[in-house]
Amino acid sequence: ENETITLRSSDGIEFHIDARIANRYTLLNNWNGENASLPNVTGKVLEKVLEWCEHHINDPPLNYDNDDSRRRNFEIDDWDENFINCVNQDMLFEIILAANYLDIKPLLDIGCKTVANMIKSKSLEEIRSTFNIVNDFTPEEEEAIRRENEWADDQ
Amino acid sequence: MNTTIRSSLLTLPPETFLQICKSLSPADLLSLSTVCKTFYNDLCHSDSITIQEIWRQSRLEHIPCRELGPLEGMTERDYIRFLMEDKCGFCGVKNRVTRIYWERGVRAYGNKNWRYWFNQVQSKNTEFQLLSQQERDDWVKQQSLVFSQREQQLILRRQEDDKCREHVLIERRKAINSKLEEMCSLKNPDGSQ
Repeated sequence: ENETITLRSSDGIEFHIDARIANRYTLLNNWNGENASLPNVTGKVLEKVLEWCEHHINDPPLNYDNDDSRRRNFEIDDWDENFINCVNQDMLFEIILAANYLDIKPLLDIGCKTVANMIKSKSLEEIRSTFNIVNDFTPEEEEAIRRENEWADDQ
Repeated sequence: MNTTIRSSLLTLPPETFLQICKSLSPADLLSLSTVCKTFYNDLCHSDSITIQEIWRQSRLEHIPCRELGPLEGMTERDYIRFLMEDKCGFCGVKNRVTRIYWERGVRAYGNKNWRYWFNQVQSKNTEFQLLSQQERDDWVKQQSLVFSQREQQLILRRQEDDKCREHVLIERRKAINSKLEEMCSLKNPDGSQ
């Protein structure tokens, strides 16, 4: 029988999880207990985060000493890709914030990589509409910046 | 307009935004910087260590064989532009075959045998003339040390140039080969070869 711990989301929903998960991501341990609840993370988001943690419970421990090589060389596997593609953009950002907050680095990496992929090779307008960003430049300013950045097309 | 929801991308904690940026190419970073004023000011007008780091990562990831850092006085972003912009540094003409003259920190076309700018030599000479006889020996020693360090740097920069050229050739050969294979496989189905 595996030991379980209890986590409570900011809106009071309780989750009973395998203690091994909390041991992998030590920050989760802080909220183990009767009355403790995670500020900032709602039940809906915590459920998704824990779903991801459950699936990765048997992953080999990662070496975080070399930060750069970790971020550069990993690829998102099929399960993770499916997991992250099934959530809408709001949830994607919520998951990123929660992973950052709870210090679940591999999940944070996946989230950031996914957002980066949404920016890659996109036009200005596509980026704006994808992320719902308002263009606050005047047409003159925009033209000046476009000219300033022309060199990026040289190669 | 006040009711507009702020984009989630704009409300991320800075360290998370940086992590996203780290896997973007220079061209993607420029697109992102043109999206709105916040990103523009962050990415193009900040010399902070983190912004420098974003451009540095982008160079290491996306510009092949360029591992040495920027030239003196350049930011990472300036340096990427210097590497990518295919334009003569004197006449501003584009689309001619240019090369980088590391000894002067400029890009130009043609084949020039350069060492130093005239005013660099002049100012060194003035410096020398102002020194007393005793100081001159030390000064010359000091200068030759600086000079040999510069030469070392130049050698390293040129080695990178060689690696880059080689890389371009390899990529071109790969592209030709895959094109050939594609053409061969097109002929096969009807048996005519």
